[in-house]
Amino acid sequence: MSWMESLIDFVRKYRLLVALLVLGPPLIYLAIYFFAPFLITILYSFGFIGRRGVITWEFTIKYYQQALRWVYLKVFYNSVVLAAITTVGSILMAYPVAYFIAVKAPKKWKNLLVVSVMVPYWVDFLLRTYALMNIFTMLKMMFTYEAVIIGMIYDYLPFMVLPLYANLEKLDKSLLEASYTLGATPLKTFLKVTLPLSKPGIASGTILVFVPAIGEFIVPSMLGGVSVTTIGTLTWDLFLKFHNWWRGAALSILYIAVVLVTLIIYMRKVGELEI
Amino acid sequence: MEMMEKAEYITSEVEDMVVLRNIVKRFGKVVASDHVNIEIKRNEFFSLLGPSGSGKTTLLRIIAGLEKPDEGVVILEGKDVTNLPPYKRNIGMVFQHLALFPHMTVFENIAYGLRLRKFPEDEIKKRVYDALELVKMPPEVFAGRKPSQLSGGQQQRVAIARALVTQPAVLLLDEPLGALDLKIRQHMMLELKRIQRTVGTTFVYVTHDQGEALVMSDRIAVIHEGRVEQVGTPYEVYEKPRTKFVANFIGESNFFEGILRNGAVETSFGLIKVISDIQSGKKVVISLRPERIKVGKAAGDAENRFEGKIKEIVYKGDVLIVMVALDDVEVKVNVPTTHPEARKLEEGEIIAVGWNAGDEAGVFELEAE
Amino acid sequence: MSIRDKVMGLYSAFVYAFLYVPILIVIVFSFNESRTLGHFTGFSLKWYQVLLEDKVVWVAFYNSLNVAVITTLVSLLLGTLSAYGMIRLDIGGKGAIDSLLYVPIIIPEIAEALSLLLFYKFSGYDLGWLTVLLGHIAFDISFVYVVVRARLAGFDRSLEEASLTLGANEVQTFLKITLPLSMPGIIAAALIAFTLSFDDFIKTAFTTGPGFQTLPLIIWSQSARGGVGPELNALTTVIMAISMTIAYIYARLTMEKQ
Ligand SMILES: Nc1ncnc2c1ncn2[C@@H]1O[C@H](COP(=O)(O)OP(=O)(O)O)[C@@H](O)[C@H]1O
Ligand SMILES: [Mg+2]
Repeated sequence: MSWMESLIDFVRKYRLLVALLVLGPPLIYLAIYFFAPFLITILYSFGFIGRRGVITWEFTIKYYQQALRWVYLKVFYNSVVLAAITTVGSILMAYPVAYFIAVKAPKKWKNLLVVSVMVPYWVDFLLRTYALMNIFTMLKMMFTYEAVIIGMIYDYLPFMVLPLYANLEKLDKSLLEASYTLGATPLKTFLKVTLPLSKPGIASGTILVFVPAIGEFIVPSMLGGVSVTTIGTLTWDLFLKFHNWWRGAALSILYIAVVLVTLIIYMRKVGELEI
Repeated sequence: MEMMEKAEYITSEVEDMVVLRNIVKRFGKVVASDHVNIEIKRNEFFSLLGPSGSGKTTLLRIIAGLEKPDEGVVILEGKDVTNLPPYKRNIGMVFQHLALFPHMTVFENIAYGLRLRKFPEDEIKKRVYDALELVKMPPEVFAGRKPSQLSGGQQQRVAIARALVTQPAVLLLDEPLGALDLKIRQHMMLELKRIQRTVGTTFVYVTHDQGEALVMSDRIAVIHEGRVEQVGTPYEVYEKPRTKFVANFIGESNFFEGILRNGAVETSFGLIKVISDIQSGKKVVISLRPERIKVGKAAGDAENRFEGKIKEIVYKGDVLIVMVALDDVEVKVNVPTTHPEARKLEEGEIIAVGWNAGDEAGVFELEAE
Repeated sequence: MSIRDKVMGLYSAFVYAFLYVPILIVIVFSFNESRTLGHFTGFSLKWYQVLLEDKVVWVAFYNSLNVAVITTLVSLLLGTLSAYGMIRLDIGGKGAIDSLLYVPIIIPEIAEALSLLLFYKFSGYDLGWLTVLLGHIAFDISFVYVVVRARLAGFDRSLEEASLTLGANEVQTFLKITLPLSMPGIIAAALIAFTLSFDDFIKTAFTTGPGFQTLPLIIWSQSARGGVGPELNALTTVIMAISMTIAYIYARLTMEKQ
């Protein structure tokens, strides 16, 4: 028992040291294997690091200029359009489902219905996209833009259903009843009560879908082949095919900048992100 | 550490079980305890009563050792425990939300403290069963259940059994009845009183409900903004409030302001005779309970007699609450429904109200603004 | 149920079908006797037989499992430490540390993957098992942190205080109350960490080197340019069965909390 007491005494006395011992290892790990790599990426994008990782101390923005050339801007544009279509498509598919689970579904089914959406959420896109390849091959739809769009919605759908459901689940059902008793039709009630109250859920889902969809690689690459180019496929090619790390780094930093700006706007307007 | 272990016992049969001496506790800018001095006696049912946020829980947690005071001393059974952790103090605590361990059965919950004290297993079983009997929970039925399989009132009983089974010197209870329905709450009030008398443990009971405090307590400390406003028996704090706050917080009261001159207060609607030793010429406020005011003929020979129009009558079963306007002041009067004139009262009528000097709950000096 | 509700129910059924039919098709055709897609000519286990005899698949399976298990253990330790520290320690700057721990979840995987590659190239790592593993851990720490922290945050502090007043010191309280009660959260975190690592593709693709292959990499390289086939269906079925089972247990655990 006395070792316990001395341990407790120690924790009391050296609070900061204990904090360091507890929080230090995870933070140091992330510093090395997560944050340092981003720093290195920034250095690459400005040309500070040359071939074979030699530090050159030559500052240049030429890689950014290259990344902002018309062909690349068009890719950026294509990616944003694709991500936007994906987001709208998945809202249209997800909202009724989320509403159904949260408000209408019989209680005993509820858990099963939610779990059935959570399971695909955690399965890697590679596997789920491969699953689609079977169907598209049968339908002779491989390497079409339609296939890419369907694939994107297919993969991202759970990311939209879950935050929407979480939001609608919290919705006080008596508000709907109050609206009915005040003479509103179900449609009016939906437009004036449910929809405005579920805005945070729509916003969360939009962030969870839109932001990663811009950089999506697996779907356009597997289902679109060479016919669809996005930031994701471009990055992949620059790195793993052409080994043009500098331009790739600049492109990636631009992408991250877009992501961060979107997130900051979101946080300011809506607040916490639910995952 | 060493020094604390050897802290002196003044006597093992000390009269004061809990002594708080000059306790100060701050949370940032908030002063949750402001130089609190309280002595709680052996076998006493002692309540800390005050509105929400007044600092009751903080005091209880300081006694328990869950919070360390910034200044002051905590003495339990004559022993300075200010720097001891909770598990080295001889206390039991019933938490506001009970804090029953959800992963343990009722039996394991109650046995928890005994196991830590390394009692033999058959002794543990005996004590746990006795504790369950004490709180009227048949052990054969409930010992094996999980807390989630109990009703609110039953969880309450288990929490009390768990806190008492180690036979602590003091049992601390933080608004334990707050979450219960009115009916069960009233029942549990009597139960708590019965349990306290049975085991004879000192109870320190935190509540914001004056009804609970008045019914159960031997003595009450009224807490306001971290300070002790008054310590006294239920009778004392109700009939002889020492401050305007106490008069207002406990029971209901009419308040009349005015200047005190020669044993009478000049108010906006007339002179009111009072009994008070406050200096002449001071601005004061009188506190007068609605049930102390007589109406109609009964008010005839009162030392203070006024007439006013009845603004409103509310029927409450045993009493009528009658609001009477005296000039710009409305006075609340409780008239028993058995009062001979009760049936004749009507809104809009003129009625006489009256009371004698000394009927007031108190006269309090107003601080100059 | 009104007509409107029925329509909504039907629509939902359609969406669930959309989510699960493609997966079912993969499973069904992994048992198809012939190679022809779209015609089920008879039940057969021969493609699983092929898998079983494929040495490359076995090595990749071992690699996937190896990385996933080590990733789970390390990220569980580091993630739980940080969650516990953030909830219990009384120190300044918590908001900032919390944000830092969240960043890996928010940053898109491909951006993280390529920065890891640049980092490895710059620091002279040989790409392979170690580089894949280090990257997976970095990502998983944050997920473990979020899951365990959510569990601890929903934890009534007065349970621990009750234990203290009943005579248990801090260490006993941690062992008897805190740890058992946060166990579901820790198990859920372990399951998530495992799936995220086991079927990960992008980060693995960027940080692996010649000679170190995992199961998703096999699927990728063989399915490139539309190469769908029953062997791949069988392999995908196996990986999905593992991932989905674990995800299912995780989902059940999380739902029970409510
Ligand atoms: N841990 C804490 N941190 C900051 N402020 C606190 C803390 N505990 C209590 N307080 C503040 O101290 C005051 C008294 O609180 P408390 O003792 O809980 O009151 P009561 O139990 O009478 O409602 C309140 O203003 C409360 O906000
Ligand atoms: Mg309180």
